[in-house]
Amino acid sequence: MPIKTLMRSPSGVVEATESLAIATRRLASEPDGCLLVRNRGRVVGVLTMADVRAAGPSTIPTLAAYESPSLTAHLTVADALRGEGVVVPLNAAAADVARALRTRQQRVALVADGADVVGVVTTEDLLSALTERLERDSPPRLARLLVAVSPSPTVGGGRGTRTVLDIGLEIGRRHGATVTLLHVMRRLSPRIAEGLPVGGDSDVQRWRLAGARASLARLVPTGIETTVRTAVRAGEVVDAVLAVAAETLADLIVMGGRRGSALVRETICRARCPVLAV
Amino acid sequence: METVSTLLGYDTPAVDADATLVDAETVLRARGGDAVAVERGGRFRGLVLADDLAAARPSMATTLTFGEVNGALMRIPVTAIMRRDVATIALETPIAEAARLVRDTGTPVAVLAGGSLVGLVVPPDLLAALERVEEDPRPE
Repeated sequence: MPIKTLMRSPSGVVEATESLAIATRRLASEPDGCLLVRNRGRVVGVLTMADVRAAGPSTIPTLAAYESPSLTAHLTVADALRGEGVVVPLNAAAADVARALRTRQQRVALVADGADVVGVVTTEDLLSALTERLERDSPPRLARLLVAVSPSPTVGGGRGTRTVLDIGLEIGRRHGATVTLLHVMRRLSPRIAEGLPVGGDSDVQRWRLAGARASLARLVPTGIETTVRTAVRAGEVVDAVLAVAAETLADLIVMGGRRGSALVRETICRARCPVLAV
Repeated sequence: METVSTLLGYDTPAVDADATLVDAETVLRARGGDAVAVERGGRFRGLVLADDLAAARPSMATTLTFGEVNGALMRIPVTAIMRRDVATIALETPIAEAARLVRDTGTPVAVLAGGSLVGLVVPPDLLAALERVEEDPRPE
């Protein structure tokens, strides 16, 4: 990638002998966040806010107390310049500029066309180029999906479940993601769901759990190209969905429900990943 | 998709939360880099940036001697300038995502696994990644 496609042309120029305080005020209103520094008619470097902070009074009040404003007023732009400016030719590649900045521990490079400085390239510009390049080569995708379904017809199964499932599986197929199908049973004992011993109506609850697991497994179409796992949890729907989303490091939660419903709203508010309400 | 785990070295520059600014400067001088991680009891607490350490040092206009400045810095804890609102990512985070975070926040990002620090992603790591992908002979 040629550097001339990344560079910017800062309009601000300061003299190396100029007061640092005045240059700082100009820098604050500079859209590019830097000023070219000129000495005896030649551009010798770039002034950034980090340079100003390093050269200016201490940020620790007990140390700054020993820096009288009458003395700091004499600081100049030259006092703030750190090292020789990195100069690269206009036909340089982004990789060359990245190497020059990295090895010389600088953040801005001056781009020169012959003897003239025609622009600057910052580390931020190069990071943008890196992001663009990587995402072009390998577009971002979802790796793990959590699809919350209710396979029982008596609690909202049927057509709604099929829609959520179909959409979840289609997204999973397109992204090559691992899909976790989750069913939350509100009236199931958490101990039963975890396979722990309980008394009383444990047989009935175990029977319900086995039924739910079997129903969930039947929802998974045969011959599907993506990996599908199933999970059944006990407890409140939102808590269980968020817990499984965290366990599986889900990149997206797909769930049924109207967008404005309390269940969807609470899930969206508390989830650490995007939520798609179908 | 390449993840940040490929960027991390074996040893992350770090100091304890009780360390002083001089301790942090010493680690940075010895190891290089843009930041030192601050930990307490093995848990990540924040970052001390090289820029913030430079900004903490008095300017040339100080009336303190070199020895007095160093003496003062030896008494100031790193927590005085530590950045607590640092972006954190997991080892599986794509490099592109980390680059975007570093660019947008202007600070390195911490890579955590189970609440413990496993590395820092700093601009030089990402510039090296750019060199690598730009010089990759694969056709575009």
